[in-house]
Amino acid sequence: MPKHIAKRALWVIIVLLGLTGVWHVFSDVANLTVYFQQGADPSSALNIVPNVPPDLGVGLDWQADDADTGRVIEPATRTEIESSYLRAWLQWNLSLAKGAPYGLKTYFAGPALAAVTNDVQAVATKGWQVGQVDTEHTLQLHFYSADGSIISFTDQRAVVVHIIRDKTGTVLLTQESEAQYQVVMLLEDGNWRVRHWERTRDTVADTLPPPPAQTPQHFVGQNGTFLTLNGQRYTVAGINYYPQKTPWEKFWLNYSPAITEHDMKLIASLRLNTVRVFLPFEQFGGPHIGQASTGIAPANSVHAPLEKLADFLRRAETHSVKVIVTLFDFRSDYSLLLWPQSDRYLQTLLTHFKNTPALLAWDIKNEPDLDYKHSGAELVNAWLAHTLRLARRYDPYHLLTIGWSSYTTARIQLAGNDIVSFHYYGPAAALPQAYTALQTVAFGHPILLTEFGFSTWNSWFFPNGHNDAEQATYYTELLRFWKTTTSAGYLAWTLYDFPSVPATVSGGLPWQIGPQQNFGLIRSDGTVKPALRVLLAQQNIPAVSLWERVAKPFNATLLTSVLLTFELMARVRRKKQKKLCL
Amino acid sequence: MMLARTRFLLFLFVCLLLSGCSNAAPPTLALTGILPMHAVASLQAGATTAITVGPIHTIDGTAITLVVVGSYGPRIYQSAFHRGSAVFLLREADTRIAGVVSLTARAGSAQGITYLTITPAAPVEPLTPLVGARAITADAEHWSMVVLIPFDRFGNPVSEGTRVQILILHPDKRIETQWVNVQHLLAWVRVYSGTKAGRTSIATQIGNVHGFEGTLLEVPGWPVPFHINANPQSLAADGQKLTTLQTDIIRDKFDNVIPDGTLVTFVVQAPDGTQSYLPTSTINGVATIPFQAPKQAGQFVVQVVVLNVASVALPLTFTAGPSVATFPLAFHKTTTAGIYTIDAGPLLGALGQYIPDGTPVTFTLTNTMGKNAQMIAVSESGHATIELRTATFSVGMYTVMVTAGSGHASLAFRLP
Repeated sequence: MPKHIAKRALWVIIVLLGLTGVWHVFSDVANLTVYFQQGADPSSALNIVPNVPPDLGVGLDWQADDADTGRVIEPATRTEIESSYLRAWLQWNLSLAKGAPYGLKTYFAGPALAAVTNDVQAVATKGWQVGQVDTEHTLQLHFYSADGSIISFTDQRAVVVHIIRDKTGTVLLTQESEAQYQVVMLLEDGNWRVRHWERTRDTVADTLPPPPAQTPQHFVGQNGTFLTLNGQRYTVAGINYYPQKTPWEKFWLNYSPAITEHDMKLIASLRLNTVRVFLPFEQFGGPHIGQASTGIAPANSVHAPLEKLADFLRRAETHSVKVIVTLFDFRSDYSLLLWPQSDRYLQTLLTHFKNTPALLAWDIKNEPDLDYKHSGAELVNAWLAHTLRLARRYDPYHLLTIGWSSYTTARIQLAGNDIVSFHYYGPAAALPQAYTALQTVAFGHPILLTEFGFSTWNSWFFPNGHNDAEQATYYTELLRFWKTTTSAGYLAWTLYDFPSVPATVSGGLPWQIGPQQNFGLIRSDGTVKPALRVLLAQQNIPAVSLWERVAKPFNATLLTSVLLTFELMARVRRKKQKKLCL
Repeated sequence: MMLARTRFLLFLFVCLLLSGCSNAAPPTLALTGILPMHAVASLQAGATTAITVGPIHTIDGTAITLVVVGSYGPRIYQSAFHRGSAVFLLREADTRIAGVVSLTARAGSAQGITYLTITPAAPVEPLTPLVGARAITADAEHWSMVVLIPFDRFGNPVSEGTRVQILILHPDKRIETQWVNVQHLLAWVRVYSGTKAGRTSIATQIGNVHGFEGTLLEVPGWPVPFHINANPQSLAADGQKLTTLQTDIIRDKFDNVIPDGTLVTFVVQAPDGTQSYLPTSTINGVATIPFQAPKQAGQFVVQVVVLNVASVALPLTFTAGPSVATFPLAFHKTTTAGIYTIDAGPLLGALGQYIPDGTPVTFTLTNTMGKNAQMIAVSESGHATIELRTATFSVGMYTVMVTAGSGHASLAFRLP
């Protein structure tokens, strides 16, 4: 290389390095400035302890006070009582979870402290694991002393859940009860403490609120094994839906009314009457769902999660599309202490939308049976039963279902589960057997296939790839059978291929992500796959030829690899022969 | 061949040994459905009881668990079926806590549930009446409360409806008896005050069970208007002498003397309208303060305020004196060089008599520069004299103003 060119190259490198250095210095100074501009909320300096732990979520209501309570209670004192009572329960629950008395002295005193401490220790000594959580309380004030230091009330309805395991962790008992407690609290050292309490009534909470006399107009109802709408049979022909560019957890954070409008119009044009959408728990407001705004939505979109869902439902209704809303997506922690939080989430959502006819059903949880592995079937099923009961209470008008991942787990009987829904990704030929098996245990409930699909992921490097023709054939075969059944309908998975899939869906490896990206009926480039015609025209697609089954990228890679290997071996052999000849 | 057969036999023997080492499998029979349970419906705290599960068709030794959830959480017991039944014995230590107890038995997939109510045992001593407010006004209108949380020997609040007697001895020796039932774990009554202030004693009783005394103070209410007196009634405005201001015995409308230590304020209004506030407190219902005579004659008005109730106003007159008019002043040169005197006198009282010996007389000297110097002499035989030394005062013109009570005089002179 000529010297002058080398010099210029060297100068270019030095200048680039210098610019990079300057950029880094500016960037660091900017970051440092931003760091010092940020600070804690000034009010946090006051260290104000909230009345009730903000994420606790235990429901508490007051009934009318007794006519003569001795003294009229001040609102501030009532708030203090609520706080201390709920914290007493929380500390008791924590002590049982911890297996040792923990912070009980702050909220219990005298005989109550002795008794609760003894019981926590007795259970722990024997190695039993007792999980306990209180989810709701309804208090009625009887007495408040003239000097403001003694209070007596009845907890008319304390909803308490117990999960008791033996030393090996085997669940012995799962029970939800509604109990009544008489409580006396004393103000000591500025803290209200439980001095006495006595359980005066207890019933197992396993009954559902009575259903409404009749399904409201324009609501989807249930009549035996059929769904009905305005007195007519309603058969679901639907699809699971995420916007193409923002699937899964990105959906609601980036909610766009314009995209929803476009997609609902498209879905209606495909003659589909139902969509199934998912509300990821954290991204859809989590425990703070009732608050006005998440503050993370784009400025040009509707802000609060509830408003976003309302907008979605409104647009769906405009196009005569019913919506199945799947709750608690990606929330796989069933810890007892988190139950109240999910209860409040449910309460906020269901009471808000209970009068919305666009809703077909609430799907309580997507594929909860997949959580059996790490949370245990007993705990998961107990939460489902609990949540179904609550859901029926908060919204008596809409149907409830659980999106089981397979027909085997869909056979679990849970009170309040109106629609037996399951997902099927097996061979189309085996579906009749699954349906028959499920039909025998559905006990007169509608059966709904809420997910089925076929991925067109066809990798050059991984086996088990499929093409569009195979997908279309799968749709044809599956729907051919399904339409002969008395089921409530089907929903395909899914409308679009997606550019990205979070690892939390099915894993982060290429052979896990690839298929998930390509289940759609419309490709990433907007072109449609043949399977869409099956849905659109309701027509059958010719069976896949042998050539189409064989001519796949992976097979080509395999064949090429084999040929290359043979060629390589042949060359090696020829070289050896040449050497021998020499 | 022989070797192979021997190996095979050895293998069988080892297998036999291994199978013998394993524990015998427990008898199992898949249990489903509802387990019949038998338990008493009600039981007194601390009593022993047996819970029987069965009879059912099962194998002896089948494990069964009983979960007992009471007022303060769950207890777990284990047993096994014998001849189709399982018996759980709940001993004294297991039944100490009162309340409704759920008993859930579980064996395999079978489950049964029943309920047992543990009632509190008899109340025990001591009964401790909680009295609040601690002090109330003795006006037959204000009230306090007596609250009682009686409990049994295990600390359980006693049964609802337990009859409690509350005896109240008021300061007027009146004994009031109230009966009340325990409701929502406690018993409470209102105690209305009488009209006599003093200490009220409270006792509670359940049958033959007794306890501590509770105390309630019935304190006097707002005072009724009262009078003030002064002793002596009148003084010369000499800025020295003291008069004692005293209230009558301060009482409420029921004639109860207000408590010792009650804060009262004497409000003294001077002739020019300025007010002085003199706080003190009562002893035996009376508040007393000394009040110094002013230097200027005039009529003052005194009022006492206690608990926002004002007394009747008392006019208090301070007469002019001890000197009542102007008096002569004389500047003299003494025989000693550099020493001069100023003599004031004769200083006369209202009757033309000399003012009392020892009365302080104030001389205020002012030079041409406006600088002041004050000297005090005491009167003797109607005269008061000060000495001026040239070593102390510079030469020049001076004005001297002399006051003796309300009498005064002035003089201009030159200090040579």
